Amino acid sequence: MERITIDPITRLEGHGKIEIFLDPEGNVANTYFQIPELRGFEQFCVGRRVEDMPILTNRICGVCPEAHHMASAKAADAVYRVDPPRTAKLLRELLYSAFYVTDHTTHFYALGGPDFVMGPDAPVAERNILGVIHKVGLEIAGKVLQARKNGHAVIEMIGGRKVHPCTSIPGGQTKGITEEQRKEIEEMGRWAIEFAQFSLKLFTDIVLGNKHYVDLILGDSYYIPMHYIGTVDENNKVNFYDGKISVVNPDGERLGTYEPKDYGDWIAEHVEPWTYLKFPYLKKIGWKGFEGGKDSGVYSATPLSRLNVADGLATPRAQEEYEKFYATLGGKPVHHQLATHWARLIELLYAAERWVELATDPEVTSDKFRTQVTEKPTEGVGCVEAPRGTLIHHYWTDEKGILTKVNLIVGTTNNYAPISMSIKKAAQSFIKQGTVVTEGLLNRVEMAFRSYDPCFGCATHSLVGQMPLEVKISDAQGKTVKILRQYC
Amino acid sequence: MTAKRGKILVIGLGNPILGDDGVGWHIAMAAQTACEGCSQADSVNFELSSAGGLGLMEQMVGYQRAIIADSIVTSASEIGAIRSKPFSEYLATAHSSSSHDATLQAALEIGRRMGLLLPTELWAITIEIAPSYVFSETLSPAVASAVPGAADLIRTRLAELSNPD
Repeated sequence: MERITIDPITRLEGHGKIEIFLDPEGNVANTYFQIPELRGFEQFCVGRRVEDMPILTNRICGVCPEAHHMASAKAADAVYRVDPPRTAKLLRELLYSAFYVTDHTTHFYALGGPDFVMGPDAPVAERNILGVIHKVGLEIAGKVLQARKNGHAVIEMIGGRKVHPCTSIPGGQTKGITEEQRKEIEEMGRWAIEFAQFSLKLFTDIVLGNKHYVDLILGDSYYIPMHYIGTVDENNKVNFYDGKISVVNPDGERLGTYEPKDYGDWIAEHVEPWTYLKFPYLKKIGWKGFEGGKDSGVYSATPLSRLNVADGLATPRAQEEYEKFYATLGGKPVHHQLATHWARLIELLYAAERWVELATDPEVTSDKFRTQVTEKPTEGVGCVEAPRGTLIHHYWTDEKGILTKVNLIVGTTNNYAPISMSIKKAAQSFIKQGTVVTEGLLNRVEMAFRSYDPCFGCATHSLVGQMPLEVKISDAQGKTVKILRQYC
Repeated sequence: MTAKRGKILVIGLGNPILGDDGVGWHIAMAAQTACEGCSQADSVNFELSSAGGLGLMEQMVGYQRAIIADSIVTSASEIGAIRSKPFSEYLATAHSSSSHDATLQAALEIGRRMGLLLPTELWAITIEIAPSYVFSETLSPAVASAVPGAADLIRTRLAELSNPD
């Protein structure tokens, strides 16, 4: 049996390894996606004060600290059974919308986009953000940097710091914003709407205008029917900050909608001996292995999932794009997992529109941004939609608010089984008997997981040099017959 | 930007709750303490960061000279080994590349093409660590013992940058 190893995966936060095992005929027998999980965070938190968690948990992750800050603050609200005032909720969601614009922008232009803008077979030295700038024009770099700068400015104004916000506490916020700041935030939000529309136009021109790419998206290599989950508001519209979690099956039928605190009734975790990370699945359906379809409890929680579970988006321009998305792809739900890139850009537009909605709410500058905590702390769950999946923080404390137990289900963990299945499907599609394994071909396998925008690290990592991609092919006796290396 | 012009940025990188991964913070903080009251104190800004790639480049905007303090995993040196080299001699230090956006080199190139003021002199002072996967606020003994030496190298480098002749 031959063995192909991709280690570590390029452009993935944290570092992972894909192993591809070939059968004697040279076809893909199986694949394993392994990542070195960071350990001990829950235990690290035990004995600390629950009100410290929104600050502490945003250090878990070098990519989405804002998501951890929000989920943690909401969990701390629940622990103290305190409902923050409306202004606090507006401020939190406003910060979170700006974060979404920043995060989705970075993913499209630096991570997912280069595969399409430069092409999946482009040399790896060109298939990156610099290549995109070279091809599309320097103007694009200015827009990307401006989008990030504006997002960080809003995060700093509301959250106190550019990257690791620190102002959400049990019961609300430590500070509000002035009218002058509000105007500035509104202006940046209006710019973000234009930028999101520009990004969708770019996607339409470069990806949807290219038959080769459309065939790739709509082909079988990245098609896996599965269940989907995502947070929706009271009208079943997508919401990143708050709501209930909606579950639909591969036929698009809603199986139910649950409060985040009831996640234990819906989600269970499967363990495999070859990885530290667990595989969440729908408890009521059960774990049936790495299988898609109605009878398997495998689900995903991605931008595509969020569109699939919702009845629409609550802002007008994003709703138009949502309708165009499903009209183009043949109706709901969409199981073409590469279409997640498109879904992400629609979410980018929604986040920008929501940013302006929140910034123009008359109550956003109110000084009533905190409800005093009066109850004894007990137990609480906080949940937000992180850009890369539903994020759950669950805390238990003693009567003094000292943590006795912590449980987190981070965004990407939801998608571990779907990512593993997508990698196998792509590998089986592209590596067949007699196939010469090229860098471009392996990039098509990588594209299977890149669409999920995975972030297994939940921390910054120690890596030497630029991210290397090593492909090792061994024969049945374990002898290395070929090694491919590339740097991106 | 103007307020930063002429100043030197010392930036400690890493995750402060991931054991040795956060040693860059310890180096920068020790260097700041060592520089208190020294002749270069007014010409240096010390910062701590968990960013890489574009985020790190954005933190450097406005500075012409910068020193990165970071961990590194090469497996070619003993744990605790200190290196002091121009950043250009590295493919990257431990955190200067963010696998979620771009390498620092690519980010700097983007920034320069956009006309941003970015360091033309960029130095890296690193300590070799083993890959760190367990959350902790403490450093391993071998890495902790290397921090004062790395901080001294920053102070020396600051003196050289402040008095180039």
